[in-house]
Amino acid sequence: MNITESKAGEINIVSIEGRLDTTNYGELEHHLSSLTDNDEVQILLDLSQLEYISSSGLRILLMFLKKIKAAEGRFMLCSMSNDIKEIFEISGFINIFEIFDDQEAALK
Amino acid sequence: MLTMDKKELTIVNDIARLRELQAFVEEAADAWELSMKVSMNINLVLEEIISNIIFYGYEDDSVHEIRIDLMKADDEVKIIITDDAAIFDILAAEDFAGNEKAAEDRKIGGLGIHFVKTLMDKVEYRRENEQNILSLIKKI
Repeated sequence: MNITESKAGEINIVSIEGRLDTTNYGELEHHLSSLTDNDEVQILLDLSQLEYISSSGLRILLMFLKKIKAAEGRFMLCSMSNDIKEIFEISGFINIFEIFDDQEAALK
Repeated sequence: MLTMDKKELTIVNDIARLRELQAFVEEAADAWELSMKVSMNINLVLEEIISNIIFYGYEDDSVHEIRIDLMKADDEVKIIITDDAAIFDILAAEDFAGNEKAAEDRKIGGLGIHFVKTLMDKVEYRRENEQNILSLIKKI
């Protein structure tokens, strides 16, 4: 998994490339914590290059959604492939996250 | 006469070894020309089941082996997972349906089980010779 970061105004854009699973979810946790620990709670996760996600990956996303909501921030997701979207649908997570088609729509 | 291709993998109960599982599924998917989606679904279901066994199945610190058999027929892939962990009948385990109840309140452990039941076309469990034998079928 590769994680890259950029910024658009107040929004931190975090892009994940590759797999997010039981063996590596800690890397994303570490990365997002470094933002939230510094009160950076406007976060957009770009999932266009995400190839695979398991329940461990979803659990981390849910953890940060709660954390960021509690800090009155915003945690958005964008650009997921249809295969990844299906996992979000089956899990019911599709209804609890703010999900956008692409970065442009999310940043509007 | 039905021809069947078979592949097998034995991994030990160390969570770092899940990488082998990924390579194993990808190799089978390539050889059998499975779609990305089927490959991903089989990988996901195996990760959920095997990590569940490794995290919760053993009460000792010994090394245990978990065996995975994949078999391909014309229109389906059959997956058999055999382990000597504590009795665990996934069919009787707590699941949650994708209903209205806020997913935030759900027990996250049930999510992996939900994936198995939803993404596979058939799930069968039996306990034999102190082993859990879980058989799954995915239509392709």
